Amino acid sequence: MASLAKTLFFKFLTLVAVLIGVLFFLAIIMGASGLSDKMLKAILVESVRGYKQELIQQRLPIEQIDVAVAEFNKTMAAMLGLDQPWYFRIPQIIQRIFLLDLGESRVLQSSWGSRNVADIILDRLPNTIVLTASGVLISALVGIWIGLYIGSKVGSGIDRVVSVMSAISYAIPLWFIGLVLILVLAYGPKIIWGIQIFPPGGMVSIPPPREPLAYFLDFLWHLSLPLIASFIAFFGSWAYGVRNIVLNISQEDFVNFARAKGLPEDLVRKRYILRPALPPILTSLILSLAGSISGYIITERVFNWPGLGTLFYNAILATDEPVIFALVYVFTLVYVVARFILEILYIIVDPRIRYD
Amino acid sequence: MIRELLKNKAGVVGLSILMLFAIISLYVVATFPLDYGIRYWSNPLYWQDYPKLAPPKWYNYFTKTKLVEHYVEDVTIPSGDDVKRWVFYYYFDADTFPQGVILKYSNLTFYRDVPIISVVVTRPDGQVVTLVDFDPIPPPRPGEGEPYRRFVESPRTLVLTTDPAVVRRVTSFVNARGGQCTTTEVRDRGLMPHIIFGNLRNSTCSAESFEPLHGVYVFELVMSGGVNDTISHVRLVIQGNVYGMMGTDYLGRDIAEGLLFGFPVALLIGGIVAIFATIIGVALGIISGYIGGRVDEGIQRFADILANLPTLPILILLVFILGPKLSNVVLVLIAFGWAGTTIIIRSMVLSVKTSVFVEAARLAGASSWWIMRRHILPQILPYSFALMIFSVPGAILAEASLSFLGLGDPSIPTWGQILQQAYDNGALQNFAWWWILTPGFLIVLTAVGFVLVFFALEPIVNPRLRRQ
Repeated sequence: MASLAKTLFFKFLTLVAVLIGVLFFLAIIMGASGLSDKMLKAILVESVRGYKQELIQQRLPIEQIDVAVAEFNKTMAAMLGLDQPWYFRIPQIIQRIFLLDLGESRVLQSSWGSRNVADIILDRLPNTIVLTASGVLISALVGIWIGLYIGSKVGSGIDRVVSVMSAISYAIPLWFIGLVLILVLAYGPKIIWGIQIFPPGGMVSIPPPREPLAYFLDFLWHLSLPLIASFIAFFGSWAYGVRNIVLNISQEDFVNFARAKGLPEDLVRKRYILRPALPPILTSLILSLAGSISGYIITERVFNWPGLGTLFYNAILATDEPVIFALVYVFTLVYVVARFILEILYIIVDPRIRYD
Repeated sequence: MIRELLKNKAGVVGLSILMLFAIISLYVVATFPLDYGIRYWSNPLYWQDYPKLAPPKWYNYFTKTKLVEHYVEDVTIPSGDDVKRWVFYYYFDADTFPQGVILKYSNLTFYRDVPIISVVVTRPDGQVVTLVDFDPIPPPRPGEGEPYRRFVESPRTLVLTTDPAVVRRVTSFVNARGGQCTTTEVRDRGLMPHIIFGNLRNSTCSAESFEPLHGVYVFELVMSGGVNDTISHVRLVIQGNVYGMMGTDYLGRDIAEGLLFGFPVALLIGGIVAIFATIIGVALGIISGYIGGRVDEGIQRFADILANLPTLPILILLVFILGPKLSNVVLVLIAFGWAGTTIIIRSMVLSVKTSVFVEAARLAGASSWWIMRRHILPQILPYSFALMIFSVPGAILAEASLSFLGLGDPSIPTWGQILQQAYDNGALQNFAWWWILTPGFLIVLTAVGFVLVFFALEPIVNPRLRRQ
């Protein structure tokens, strides 16, 4: 048990180091590009104006107000750290990014009209998680299932199909598959035959259906095309990877022994092949995670999915720096959290780590 | 090594793709100007005569209705003395109507009086339509001496489809033959080509009520003036519905040209990033593996962090901050591309380090630098080369991704940018498949070529795989 805690702790430390590294890196860019100064000055101007308003309402003489405001301005600037160059403020900037306390965006808004950066991000985050998680999970689960099946039928027709599909996964980016699908399945039938089989983009129809069930079905309808794209993009490499792992394991002595004992093939597959195959499968899931998170940024834009990827594009278009910094941080955070969950899963399925 | 590579079918396919791409790139570098992006591609004026959103020419083989091909003809020598005529014979046999008709002339030289210029078309059914009867030419300015020259720098362009006077004339022509059109309808629905190249089926004024009239159309630019008055160059453009090998985009740009220019750019991006990232990765990998200790720990932890990042968000941030220039994109890709190589090379170095010849060299008094350079580097060089090949498609795809998010270098057309412009300017909504599929297909084909070569190379250069 002690070794388990130790392994977990070290994984955790590495991931925290990744996060801190990114935060530090972001803070330096933010400071050096003058964005931090700009942001703090906006806060300063805002609070000084509020203070002045307050004094005016108290009907103090104007000279007295001016003196007080100048004094307030000075203490406030010192408090925010504006009287020092940016590199003395790095801890403060890191803290601000970490808590998503990045003030207001320049242009972008959340769905309820807030310009607070944290609000904008939190508004979109669930949409991205739904899209990414469902896309990766469905293709991984089906891929693992098919891979287990064809691992014992190497050389069959379906095996060859999967090999070709894995080559496709290597070469064709997810977002291009999405583009082709939108062209062929959404706009094509609509323009040629006048029927809308799949929606060309978005998360729900406009206006969205009122009823909860209809809303949910409409959501699924919009989710289907991105999911098909994810499936085409990721399924092949999953099935092929699992097939290779299964192929290696089924040549091991303990599998032959299980078969020689006369165990039914189903049991052999489940207990003697799947179990030892799980850890390497999880490893490949962990390794592909960073790639798929990046892949969904552009895929969201292609499908006009209102998640963080589309927000990224909008922020670039509007040169909305605070949102861009926040997005880079949130993407790293999502990645680190997902990695950590997978590492825990890994320890659960791999007894060698647990009972070391 | 090459002979072994050629034994592998995947290797042969991959190599031939890459060879083909290299030949195309060399051709483009030799024939295209280096500032093609700024001078032509991003200059909408250059493309104004081209048809907009036209599918490729060969699309005609797949459709029942024959689409109009783009027609450009130049005439320099007129017929006649006092009244000079520049005559164009245009054979029209398509089932659809052209997008538009443009007439251009340049280098008008005249003496004494301003010549009168008119444009007339004679249809196959004998009907004559005067499109322009008096094109206004700036008269001699005070103090200007003979001969007077006009339209030398830029030609006089008559966009016959939208020119108000032409629209008024063709409207009265069609109404005289039983139509009920107003000039606004003709202008807004772009019916001028329909009226000239077709007959009315019924009196409603819409594109559907015209049927094409096949045959030879004679377009004439007529100039009546002095004997010595001349025009050096007259051009008639009939904008088709199909154009070139790859069609055109919303600005009328020839997509084939943009795609061609993208070949060397893609190979350059992929090549430079792969070469430099591999050099850095191999150097750090050797140092890390051979020297070990704190240096090893430091390099490996740093590489771990880099390899464990979702890189695209950080690429976006850096290119956003540094500005969307191709050199910045390449620099950032190099800075984040070496980590994977370092980790792999280090593990290879660790096994090479324990071999007898390294041991012997050390005992003979060789310095660390010598051993790394002369004994370790040659051992890992073949595999590094394979890794370099493998990292090319990643760089090309990353550039395409950045372009698709609007961070492409606006002065250099790339495949990713063509895709992005297609997406942003309604290629999907207009079902402009030629504008979306071809750039994406080229990106994918490049990636396939490099990946296939890598797959064929790997068993040859990886000692671990060779033993099996």
